[in-house]
Amino acid sequence: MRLPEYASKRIFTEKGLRVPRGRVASTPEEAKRIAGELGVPVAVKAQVLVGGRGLAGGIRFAEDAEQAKEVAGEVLSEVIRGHDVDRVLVEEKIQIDREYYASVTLDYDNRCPVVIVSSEGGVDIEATAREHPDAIVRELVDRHLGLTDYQARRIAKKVGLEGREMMQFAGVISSLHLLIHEYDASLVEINPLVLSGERGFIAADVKIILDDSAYFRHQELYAGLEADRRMPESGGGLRKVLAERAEIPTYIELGGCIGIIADGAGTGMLTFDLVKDHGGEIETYCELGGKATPALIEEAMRIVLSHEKVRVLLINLIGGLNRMDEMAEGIVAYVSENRPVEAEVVVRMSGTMEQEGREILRTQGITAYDNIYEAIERAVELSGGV
Amino acid sequence: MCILIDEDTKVIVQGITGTVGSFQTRVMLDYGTKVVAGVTPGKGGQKVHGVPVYDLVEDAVEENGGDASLIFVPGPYAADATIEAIEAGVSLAVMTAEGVPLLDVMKVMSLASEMGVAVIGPDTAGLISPGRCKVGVHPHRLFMEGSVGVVSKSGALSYETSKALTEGGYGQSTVIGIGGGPMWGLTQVEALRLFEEDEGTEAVVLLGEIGGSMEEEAAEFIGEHMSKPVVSLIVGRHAPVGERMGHAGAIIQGRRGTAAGKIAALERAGARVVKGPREIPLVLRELL
Repeated sequence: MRLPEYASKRIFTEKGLRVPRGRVASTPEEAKRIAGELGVPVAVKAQVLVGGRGLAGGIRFAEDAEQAKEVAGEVLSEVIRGHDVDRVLVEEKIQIDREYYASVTLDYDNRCPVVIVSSEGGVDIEATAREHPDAIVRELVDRHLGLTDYQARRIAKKVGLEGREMMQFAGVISSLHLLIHEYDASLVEINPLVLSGERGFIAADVKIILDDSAYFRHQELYAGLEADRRMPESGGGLRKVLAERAEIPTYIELGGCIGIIADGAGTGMLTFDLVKDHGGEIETYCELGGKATPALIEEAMRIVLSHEKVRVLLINLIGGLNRMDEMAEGIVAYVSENRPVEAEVVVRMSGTMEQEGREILRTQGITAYDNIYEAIERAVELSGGV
Repeated sequence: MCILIDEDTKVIVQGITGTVGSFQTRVMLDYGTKVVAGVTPGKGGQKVHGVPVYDLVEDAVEENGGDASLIFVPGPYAADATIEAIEAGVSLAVMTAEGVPLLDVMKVMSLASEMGVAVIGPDTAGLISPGRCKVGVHPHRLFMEGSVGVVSKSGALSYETSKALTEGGYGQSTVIGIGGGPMWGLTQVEALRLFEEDEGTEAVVLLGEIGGSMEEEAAEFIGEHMSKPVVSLIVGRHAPVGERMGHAGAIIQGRRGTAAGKIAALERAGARVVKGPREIPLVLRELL
């Protein structure tokens, strides 16, 4: 899970990393008050979890409190890449002498953390990697030793720093490395890391992505974030949150009329590809993972079919760990409680306990396909796609 | 005639007393897998379908032998269970759990490489050498003994593909699910190498998906080291950019991890890339 900027900065501050002074506002008046307290020119930054926010108009500047109110009003009414802005971070505008990039992430091939830094901050690091690969320093961290102080200094030296600045930069990357371990983060990033006169390095924009698999070790943090989150009232946003709460691994809405429920990531993607190849237009893609329960598939059907745009639901199941008798129970539970089901439902079923599953479906007059192509062709045909 | 597991493999099941562990043990025993012992801490001394249960893997291995451990322990405890299996001396550990913290996976893999133990997973269905041995949760009715090796990130996609192979008359030597990532023990390249060396394997099916760069590395290996024909299917061709498609590793980020990039690399390396499982037996008919 990617943390909102303000939450990431709170964590940075706790670890002694310097960030611009500021606070979160959800109304223009609050923004005005914060800017007034800061008493300096401010940046007003939309708190949305999408990249490229600056280019999309999500970061604006104001000279004083009155202007901060006006600018915050504008930013709060924006929709950035499909996301409503419901909060802004109002923080002091800092003096920029130089901009650097610094991150620690996990190197999946080498199975250890990796430090990535660059003397060219403030721009997309992927672009730098393509256009000026020499400007990037990348060092693996020994899994047993961790990031040693000298290695951090060496990295700082490689981006051209010396003296006090080298020591400070090394301190920053050591802290980033500690955050990876302390929070089970898969990425901790500062971009830009600003060298700001006498104040030294300030983390102007930061990003933390948590490894959700380690949720159980950070329950308090997650509970806080959940409590902080605005619940969407309706539509796709609500359905996505409901899917998350039901622990459905993947729920995506796209803009067609076919819904897909699959019980595995690989076959889910295969179903997605083949439906598209056959000319079908997919609205909802919902994948249950390989260990679904009757309650999970029932809830998935409830969420997917609560969306009026889904006219055909294709359920593709091929079970190993997943038992088809259990999946059939879930499907039957939904269908028998929601008669008449408005959408056309096409079921394909194969694998563990499939005979038992078919029998259960038959009691509700549902005949499951065995062949994935036949099921897909039928679903696309019913959707009027071909 | 197969890789990693065969009819002589002695299997330990960790988490054998749970609903899933117990059910899958029954299925494996019926299939003929030599499940010699099970482990559930605190339940030592019990029996599950006649299989003795121990508190510790080392005791299970000492009394019964044990080549492979199939681990049905949930994500938060899976790494510890795998470390226990590795230290008890098994040569193959299969981590079925989803949701194992990445830092824990790193710890397991570094120990495994020091000890020379093959770890499959996490988030894997396991592996099956049809007709001989199954260390996993595969619906084995869809599989048939034969000479096509299959390596897949996704378990379910390997079932779908094996079903198509079986229906098309092609049996399988071994079918391996390496897991959903984004960090893996055994990789596609390592599986390809084992299939290349295996006399019982005539052709290999490589099932990949969007995200990461493993398929590109596999392509490089195919180009340089594989003499056997490789047929590949990459799923996620139509996946939207930036959405995680179910597996933790399955996401297109910017220009990286796209199906198009992987397909191009595989084709350049001489692999035949298909769009769906039903084409695989047809292509094999041309190649073999």
